[in-house]
Amino acid sequence: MTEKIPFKPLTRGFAACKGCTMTLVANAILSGKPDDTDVVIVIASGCFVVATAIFPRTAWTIPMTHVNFETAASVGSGILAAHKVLRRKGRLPSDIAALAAGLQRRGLVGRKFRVIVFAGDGATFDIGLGPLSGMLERGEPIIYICYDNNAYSNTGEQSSGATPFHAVTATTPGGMLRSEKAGGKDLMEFTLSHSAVVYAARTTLGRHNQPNDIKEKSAAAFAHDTGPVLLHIIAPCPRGWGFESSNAFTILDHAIETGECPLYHAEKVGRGHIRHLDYLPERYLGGVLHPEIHPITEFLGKQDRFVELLKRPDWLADYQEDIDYRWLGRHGLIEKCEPYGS
Amino acid sequence: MTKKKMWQVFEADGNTMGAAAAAHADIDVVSAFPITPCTQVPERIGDHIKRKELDAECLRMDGEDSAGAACTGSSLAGARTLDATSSQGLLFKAQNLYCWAGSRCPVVLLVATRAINAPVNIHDDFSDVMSQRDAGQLMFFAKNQQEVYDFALLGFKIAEDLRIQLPFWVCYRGFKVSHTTTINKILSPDGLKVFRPWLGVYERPQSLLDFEHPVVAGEVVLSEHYLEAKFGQHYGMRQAPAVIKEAAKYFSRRFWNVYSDTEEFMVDDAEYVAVVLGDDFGTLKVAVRQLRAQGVKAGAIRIVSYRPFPVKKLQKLLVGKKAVAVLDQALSSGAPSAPLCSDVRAALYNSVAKIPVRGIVYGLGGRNLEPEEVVQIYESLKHPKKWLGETEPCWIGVRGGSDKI
Amino acid sequence: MNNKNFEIQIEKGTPPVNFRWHARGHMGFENVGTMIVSLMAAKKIHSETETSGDASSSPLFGAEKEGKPKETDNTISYDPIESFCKPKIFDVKIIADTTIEGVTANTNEETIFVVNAKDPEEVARQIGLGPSRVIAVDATAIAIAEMKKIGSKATFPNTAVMGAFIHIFPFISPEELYAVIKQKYRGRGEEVVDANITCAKRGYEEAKFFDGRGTDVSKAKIGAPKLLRWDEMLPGAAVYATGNMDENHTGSWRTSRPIRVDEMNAEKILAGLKKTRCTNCMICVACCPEDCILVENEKVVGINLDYCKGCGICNDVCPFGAIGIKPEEKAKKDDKE
Repeated sequence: MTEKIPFKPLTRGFAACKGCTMTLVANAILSGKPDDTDVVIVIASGCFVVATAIFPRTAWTIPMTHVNFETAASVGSGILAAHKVLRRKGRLPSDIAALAAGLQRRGLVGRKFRVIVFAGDGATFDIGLGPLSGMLERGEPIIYICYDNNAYSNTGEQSSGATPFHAVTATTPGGMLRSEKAGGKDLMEFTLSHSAVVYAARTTLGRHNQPNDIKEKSAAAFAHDTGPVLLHIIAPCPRGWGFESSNAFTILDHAIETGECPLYHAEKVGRGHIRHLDYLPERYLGGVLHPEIHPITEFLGKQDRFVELLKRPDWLADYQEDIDYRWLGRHGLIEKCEPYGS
Repeated sequence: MTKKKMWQVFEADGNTMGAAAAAHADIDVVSAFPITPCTQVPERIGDHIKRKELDAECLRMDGEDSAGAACTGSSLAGARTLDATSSQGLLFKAQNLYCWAGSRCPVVLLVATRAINAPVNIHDDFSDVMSQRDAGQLMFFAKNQQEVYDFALLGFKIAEDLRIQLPFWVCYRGFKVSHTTTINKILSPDGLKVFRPWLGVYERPQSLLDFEHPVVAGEVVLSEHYLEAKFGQHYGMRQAPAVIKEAAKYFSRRFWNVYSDTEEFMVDDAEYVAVVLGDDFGTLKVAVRQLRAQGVKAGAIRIVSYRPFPVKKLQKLLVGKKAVAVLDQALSSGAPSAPLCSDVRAALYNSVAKIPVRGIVYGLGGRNLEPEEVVQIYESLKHPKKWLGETEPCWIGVRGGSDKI
Repeated sequence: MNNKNFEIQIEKGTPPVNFRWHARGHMGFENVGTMIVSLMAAKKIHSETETSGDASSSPLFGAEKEGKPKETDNTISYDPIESFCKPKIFDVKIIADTTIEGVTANTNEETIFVVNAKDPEEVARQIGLGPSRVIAVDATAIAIAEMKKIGSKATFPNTAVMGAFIHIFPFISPEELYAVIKQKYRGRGEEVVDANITCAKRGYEEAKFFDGRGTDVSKAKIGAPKLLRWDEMLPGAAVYATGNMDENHTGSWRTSRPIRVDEMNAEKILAGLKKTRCTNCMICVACCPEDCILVENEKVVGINLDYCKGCGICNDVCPFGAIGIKPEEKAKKDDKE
């Protein structure tokens, strides 16, 4: 029996840093593409495009476009609209080719089509938030992947809207907060505030308890094809986070166990969204805090960007309380998600 | 078939004419975001779609930057795309204006030109389009509602030509043209039967939706190849005059007359000529008639194709003239000339014997150009020594302003 | 060899001298260019004469990724520098890592190479520097030794290389170099400053010289991609999605190589265990960012060395400790044997 060859549209030789998890994320997502679907990739300016598309070489073997930084979602909308109308008018190049090729390729006319957008956290949380919101509100069945390395990496690790508290970046040198009252931004909740969203999830790579979490969610993303889908994926950056290039998976394990990176998803059911926890860290077992289990220092201690934070007990306490509140506080993950395991 | 059957009468303002052109050109995608005074373009296109006179996707975008990017995406995907904007919207979209040219997207952009903040002013001005005149597109300036329709139709034919593949802008003044209803011609059903096959459909050579021949559009291009990429883009502009001429010639023969580079009024034997863009050509004509009645040999030129600039034509038209005035409804503060005047002076510099050219700035933010002011400008052309020393344009119409015409 | 042959004078009226540093990330060369500028700026302050030197430093941006070769260009001159364009030929090239490719681009026989290596003639032949003058200093060994003395595991060869480098410029004295090193590292404490100055000193004293001009040392070929004419390019610089980036063998970035543990430390594996620890669980395959762990008949058989960047993730994720890491230079040597 021949095994299905996994869909891998990226060749090797791309210019990402050694140990970068971004391309693993992309490959994991794309491997979930069903055979009956054609895709076009839109990438926002950032590490991913610079690693895979420097003229005259490209790592891509499927259509891809890069236009500018903030409007990846809008470019996706334009491509989708073009596909719709060209199919209707009988001018889709692939439909024409398939028809011309006759009987054997009949199955290729009218094939499914998705646009997949890859954008970093900088392009999503900050400059691209408006265009993303527009796309989500319009209800277009685009798959939006935010690969989140917590900073503007390609330009040299400046802080973004996704940078955690007190992390050292090029623009927060001493780990200083951007402002004393700085809070975080919750991309999932922002996304789910758009009623047309049909599926949204937080996931990441892992060899830990949920090794296939990302693959399952990729399959779900493709399966939910009636509206917008967003996946928020943490992609550790050795250069930006300050860890040995070999350690990404160890750090991800810690991220999951300490509650820093929740694994959960939400689906549109009826008029609203139902959230499901995909993993419950032991620290929050039973919906209760077990403070001695997997404190956040396990995650923070392995990365140079938290060196300043670890020197200050008040910042550390602040960080830990924030994580715990995210899980156990009012409208926290425990409260708003369906009971774990149900 | 006589020419008459090719058209029908249509009372409409500039925006409506633009929308009618979109419908007749059978666009595929229109991307829209409201801004005064172009908002009615996508609205009327929506009406055409509702009445099943047009099958197109109308993208309701969340901002002009998004709208511009959506146009880039849809054009890269091989769809005939139209966008409409003004002023702040054009500036917000600026990144994408360059993307269209650089990625060879033949998007047609209708601009109901308007002043730019600050101060906020919603009336006509050419500052918005002039601010991005170097983005790499073709630019035609319409003198009336009719030309908005004509140039938009032709725009698709010209822009999509494989020798060009660049964006095409139709610029017309906000409110004065965009919102003023006049009696015009549009293609009749019989006319469409002739026009549409000639226009054809948009077939993008490398389309994102051609899965048999997948492409990557928008690679990072380093110094080793960027110059060549830009030359390739620019080569399209070099080919543009010939393609424009072909298209205008055909259209004029089959349907009705369209201008393709300049329009002249009493220029042949004129001694003093004024140059302008757009509908103020009409004001110039009033002044020219007045002056001619007084025995002054005045003439007027309107630049129709601003990009590509009709260098040779202008040189030919102005041979032997005694003095020229160029009227700009835009400014370039700190420069020796405003945009249009810059181009006219540059076109003349190495060719004809040195003709004195005077730059005038007028009408910013919708202030009317009065025929009396134009007459004064022509009168001043008789005495170049009085203004040859000007190191920047003369501003007319400013209450309390010190510039003397 | 008298090192007077290796000198370039900087005097009024002589043209600016251009040199390029080739390094990888995490070797301490990020700031070497600006250190040179600071050095020349200090000269200006201390000198009584009107113009006593100008300098410029420009880092090269492309895909600025860790592990990918980094380059910095410097120009120094007696008279003010007026142009920032790249020279076609460099007067000096400094190579911090002999595994970096393409270092002989933009050079001719007069170019002087300063290399982080043990022996200048050997390295000239090994990496194909052509019949040129080569100064070699074992900078990494010096750095490791000196930093060990202060209890640091740092291996940055930058200061030792700089020590060797200043042989070329009598215009620059060792004291001026030490001063700028002191200035740069002052925030790290006296120990670190002194250790770095010692590295520079040793680099200066232990540098070896080889004048290969006129000899048979061959020059390495550089495989640059073909440059296209404007009309050979698709409109908009589009490319067909052929995946031709696989021509880019990122294996050349590697500074450490994954090794199957049964090849390494075999004597340490207790008797009774299987020869290899690998159980073919495929976790390493799933976690490799370059997808370059080779699988045949459902067994892990090796690493695709054309693309392996040496990140070490496989070593980290293997539950059985079946993958170890060997420094690339040693691995290359072992390959030859």
